Amino acid sequence: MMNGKTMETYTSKLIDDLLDSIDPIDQEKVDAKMLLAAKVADAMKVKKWKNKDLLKAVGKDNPSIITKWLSGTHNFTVDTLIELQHALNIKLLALGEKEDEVVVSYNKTVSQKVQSSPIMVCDNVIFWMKGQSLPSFSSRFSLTALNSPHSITQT
Amino acid sequence: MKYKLVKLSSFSGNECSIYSILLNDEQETLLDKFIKENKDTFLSEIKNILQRLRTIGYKTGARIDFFKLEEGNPGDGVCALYDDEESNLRLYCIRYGTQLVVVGSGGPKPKEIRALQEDEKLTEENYFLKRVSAQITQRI
Repeated sequence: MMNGKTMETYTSKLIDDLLDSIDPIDQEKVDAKMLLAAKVADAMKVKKWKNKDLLKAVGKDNPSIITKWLSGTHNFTVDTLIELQHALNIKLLALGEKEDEVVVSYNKTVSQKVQSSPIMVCDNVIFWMKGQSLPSFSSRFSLTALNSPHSITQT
Repeated sequence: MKYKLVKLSSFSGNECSIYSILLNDEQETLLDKFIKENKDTFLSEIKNILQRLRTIGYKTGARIDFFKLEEGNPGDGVCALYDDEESNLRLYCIRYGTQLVVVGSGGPKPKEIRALQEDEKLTEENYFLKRVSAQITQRI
């Protein structure tokens, strides 16, 4: 051992079978507890805080609670996470933030010969032929100038 | 005492490499033995330990707060994976920073004991890891 040789990799069927039997959601819960603990520890490091400093900042009495929080095994309550956010000036909960926008796009093809009428209204968009005079419209309409009189594609 | 360290493929990721110990040309590591000895009685705790080792390997690294320190001699890295008063198992490790952990064995942690010296199995596993740590330090 430890003589400069590459150490061998070991695979255990016993371990792999047990890991395979774990629900991915349970693994995610463990990940979350440990990542939250890591984030709290990192924030303490930035502030150069010892456990007793955090204890004081959150107004607790028992020093062992900080050890437990940082151990990666603690099931944090929302109350505790909010207290930690304020004490450490970090974000642990992502509530109230704008979620990713869900964009629904659609294609609409309108074909209409516009020789007789140079103006067409579709879904509050006014299409008109370039070069044609445009009467005044309400500002709730947007305007699109067309090069071709035959086909309009709106996306 | 003849043994070798082997890297555990199931736990070793970008954040930390996790090793265990094969004794005397045996086919299973100390971690396998620990699991076999305790899975019938403490299956959920065994699974939780494996989950935490996987998170350490792939997501967080072996952060110092995830371990109970001072389970060995000063500076020898011997520690235990964190266990609170309610947990039933103790697993001894040697931690070398956040990127390398050697997982040894351990055992049930009787509620009535206050120090590991009061439990023969825990004492044996802890002393063994102290000897391994001393030898690793000697050879580095």
